[in-house]
Amino acid sequence: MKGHRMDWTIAALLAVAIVATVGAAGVPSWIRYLGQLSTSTALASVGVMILLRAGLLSFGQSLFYFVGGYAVALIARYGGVTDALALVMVAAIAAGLAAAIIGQLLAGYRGIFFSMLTLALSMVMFSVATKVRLFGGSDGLNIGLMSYLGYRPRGPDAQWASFVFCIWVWTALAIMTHAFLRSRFGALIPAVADNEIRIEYLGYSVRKVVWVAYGIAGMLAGAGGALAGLSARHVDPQFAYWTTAGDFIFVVLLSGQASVLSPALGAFFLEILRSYASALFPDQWQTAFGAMMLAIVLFLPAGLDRLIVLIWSAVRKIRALRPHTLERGRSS
Amino acid sequence: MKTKLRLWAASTAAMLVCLTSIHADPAVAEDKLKIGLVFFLSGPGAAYGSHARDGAKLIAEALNAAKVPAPYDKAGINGLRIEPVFVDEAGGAQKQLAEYRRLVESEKVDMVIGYNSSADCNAIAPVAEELQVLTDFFHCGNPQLFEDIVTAPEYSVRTAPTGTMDQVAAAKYLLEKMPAIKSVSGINQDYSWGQDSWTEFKAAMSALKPDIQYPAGLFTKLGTSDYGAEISALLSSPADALFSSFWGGDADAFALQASTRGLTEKSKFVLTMGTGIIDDLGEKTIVGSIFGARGPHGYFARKTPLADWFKAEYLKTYHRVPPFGAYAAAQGIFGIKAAYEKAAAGLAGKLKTEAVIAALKGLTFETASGFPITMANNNGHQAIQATAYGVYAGWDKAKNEAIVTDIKVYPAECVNPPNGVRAVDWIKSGFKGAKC
Amino acid sequence: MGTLSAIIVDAASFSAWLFLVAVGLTLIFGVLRLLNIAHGAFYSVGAYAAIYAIGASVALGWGTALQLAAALGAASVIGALIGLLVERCVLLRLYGHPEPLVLIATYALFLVLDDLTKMISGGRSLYAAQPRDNLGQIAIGGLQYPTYDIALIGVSLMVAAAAWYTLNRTRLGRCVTAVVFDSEISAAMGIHVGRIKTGTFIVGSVLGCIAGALTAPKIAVSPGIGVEVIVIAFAVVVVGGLGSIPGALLGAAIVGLARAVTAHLMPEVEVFAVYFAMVAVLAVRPHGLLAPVAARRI
Repeated sequence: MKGHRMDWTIAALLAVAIVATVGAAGVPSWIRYLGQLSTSTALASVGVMILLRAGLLSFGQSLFYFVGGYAVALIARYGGVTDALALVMVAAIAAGLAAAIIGQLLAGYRGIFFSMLTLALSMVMFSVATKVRLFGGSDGLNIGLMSYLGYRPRGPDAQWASFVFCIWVWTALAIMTHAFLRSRFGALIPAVADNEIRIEYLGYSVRKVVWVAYGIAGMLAGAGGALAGLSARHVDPQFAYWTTAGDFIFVVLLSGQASVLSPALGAFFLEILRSYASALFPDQWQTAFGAMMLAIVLFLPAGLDRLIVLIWSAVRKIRALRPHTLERGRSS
Repeated sequence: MKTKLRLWAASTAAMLVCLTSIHADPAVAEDKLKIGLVFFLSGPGAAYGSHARDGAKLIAEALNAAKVPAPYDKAGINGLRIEPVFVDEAGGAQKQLAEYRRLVESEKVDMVIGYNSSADCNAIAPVAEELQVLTDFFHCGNPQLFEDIVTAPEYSVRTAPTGTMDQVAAAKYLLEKMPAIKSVSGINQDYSWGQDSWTEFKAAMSALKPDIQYPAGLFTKLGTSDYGAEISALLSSPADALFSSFWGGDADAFALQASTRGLTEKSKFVLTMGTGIIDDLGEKTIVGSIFGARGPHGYFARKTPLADWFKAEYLKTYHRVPPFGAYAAAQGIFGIKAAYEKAAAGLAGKLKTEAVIAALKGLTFETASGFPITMANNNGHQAIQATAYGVYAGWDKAKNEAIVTDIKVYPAECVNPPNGVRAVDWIKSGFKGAKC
Repeated sequence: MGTLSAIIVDAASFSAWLFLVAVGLTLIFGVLRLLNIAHGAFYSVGAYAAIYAIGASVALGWGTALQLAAALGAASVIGALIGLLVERCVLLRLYGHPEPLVLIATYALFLVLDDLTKMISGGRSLYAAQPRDNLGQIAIGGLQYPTYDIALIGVSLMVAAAAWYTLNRTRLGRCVTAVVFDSEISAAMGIHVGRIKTGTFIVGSVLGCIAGALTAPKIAVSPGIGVEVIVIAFAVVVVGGLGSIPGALLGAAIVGLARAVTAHLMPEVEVFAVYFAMVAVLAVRPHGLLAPVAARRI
């Protein structure tokens, strides 16, 4: 993984984005919508993943998801802004700022106490949101149609455009996060989980590393919430609820922590799983969904990433038994 | 690494293929009408949704077998067999939007009837307009749906009256029962339904009797199980009456705890969703309390062949008196059926959605409660109906059913705002234009 | 004066309920180091078991004491069975895995168990108020309180005392404490660490079911009652200090008092009271008020 080599993660991200953009028109809008939801969940989950690499389990990323979603809804409603890109940027910055402030308090916490405090904060937000008239109470707020740098699609085009927009925002942020994680500062994040004292001896501040990681995770969750709000054209206090944060964690566990691309796969899988469970078992979808979750946790504790690696090594073994096929395969 | 990515791409592609293939529809038969039915089937909301599902299932099967009495004696809907697709409403608006799109595009439903939560209704209505699918928001009660969210509805309709009716009628009934009343307290669930109900009720009370006092307006979290502190607070400065829009498990728990502590003797209870408590608690219900049913359902139903048939059939199938959720689901289907058959004007087969909606506007149709519904407001997309309140007077052990007395019916135009007037403005104006 | 006494009684009664709900959770965390989200489902399973048991014993013409005994018995048996199954079939395979994974596993269990209770009960609202009604009322400070609710305060204190005594004054309790501090050394000393863990989990799930069973006569048991319980039980446990029984008692007292005070004096902020107490305590004492002391490992 040296600089002069092609970075496969970035290539793959771009490939996914291009395929999704080109193929979008041919896919029914409900799958596109699941794709949009996946990008928003994936962004928040990337944040969870970063923190998890630092050994911190945040049970409150839903707080920033909420901040992002409501920033979009409130600015669009009271500020009259309809440009999607501007809204997402403002939302991400708002959530990042919120995370930077809360992060000051949280940077000294570890383990379960970190999880619990983040959970408590998001639940406070949830109960405030159900009360406040400005936020539309538990009904939440609706968001109108967006424009994209001057392009104002209406009707079915609007959904297509918002899908493509979500995909590219996700791609851009995923690439930026990837670059950050590969920077020298980014490399300190897993070191927090390994050995905090060593970091201090190297001359860095553990507190600062955790604070920055938390801020970036918050910003990503904010962007995710903004995308979710734009996709659904509706935000409600459910954004801040603990089960939303639970989804992000589940996505990371489901997908594994190999790269910034992983959570997108996990998120899409989660949406499909939920969709299928409720289509096939309208009455018992919780059981079906829970059982699937349990099966994954028990049999694939390292995530879907691991499944792919397992399949790949199995394939390699089979190929190794037949060296000629491999040679022929390569030359053709 | 490279091959790993290729595998990823392959597995994602496989997933997509899987999706489209499993959900690929068999050839669409023209002799059936596929209806998406979205009710709460899990979580606290199932206290309603499961009844709605039971009611919808019963009506769909009976219509398909042409067993429903006049005016719905024609088989199915305009001769088309009803094919219900049930979906659980639990899980939040984000999930419901995904489910709605799936219903429309993958299940290819002809229309959707459902949604109890006002958050879900608000989120879905703009999408219904965009996808141009007839969607009947069968039981959410927020007037804002057509006042603020979708102000010029084309494809969204609501075959149930708004919650305004319940609060206005409750205030009128309470004043008729207790003309000398001086104070009312409230206890409601801390989310839109409870907050709006209390606001509207207070507005209606003040409009009718300006000097009335509200000593306490308590709100509790949805799903609270212990109301000890609230009951003590209400007992320590008791008001003449207590207003509550509690429903489901919360209503039952509160009723049980309030009656053992004697709150019911100090304050007259006004429960807008009270028949739900009778359905659940039976003879443990608080005697002497004022009850509503989100419409003239259940104990308030008028005797018509259709209403009697529905009650008897429901009792036979599910061994209980139909709760109001079942009535709401039934009237949702009946409304669509009446409009469909009016639009068809004797011709068989499928119709365009727009033709059905045009026929539904302003339509008056018969319901399972015996009180007709008129699609009078918001350009014919919003229903109004008469409603009723009564007093629970005790349990008839011989017949094993509740005794409800002093039933008073309020005509639709007495307790619903006139077309084009916002609910809150109408209440504050002192019910201008009401015909009682 | 009337308000003050009402606040105290309401706070005590609500705190008692909170403690019953939270004690199983904190015990399991203390020994197994896992946050058991399925605890909410245990609560609702216990409540349903109690409803059916009370219904059956009323039909048999049993008295109040027997009705309660039947409810507690049924809840305990079912709790023990589910606890054993869950620990042996699921958790055993996950010890040593990262915390989040175990957390998600218990969340999945919650979804499944919650749905199963719905399937068995048919999603109907059921009630069994007989034992609570039979015990009558007592007047305190001018207000009537059900004897049952007041008795629950005593039951809570007894559970707390029993748990404290078992953990601190018996051989078994010392073994459990040893496992909490260092399971490897404990194993070397001849303690069956696996059995202690299984046993603790079973006791924790029985306590969860008993909390549901004792609540059942106060409410109508209906689908979804477990969801709110998890969050509030977490709040109590976190305020008091995860894994500490006296901490759960203190946490319950604080949260209960916060709710009673706000319900009487500032009803508009009642909903925030619980979380606000949680944030306030955590901000000042990150490990909770009475967290067991543990050296930070580097």
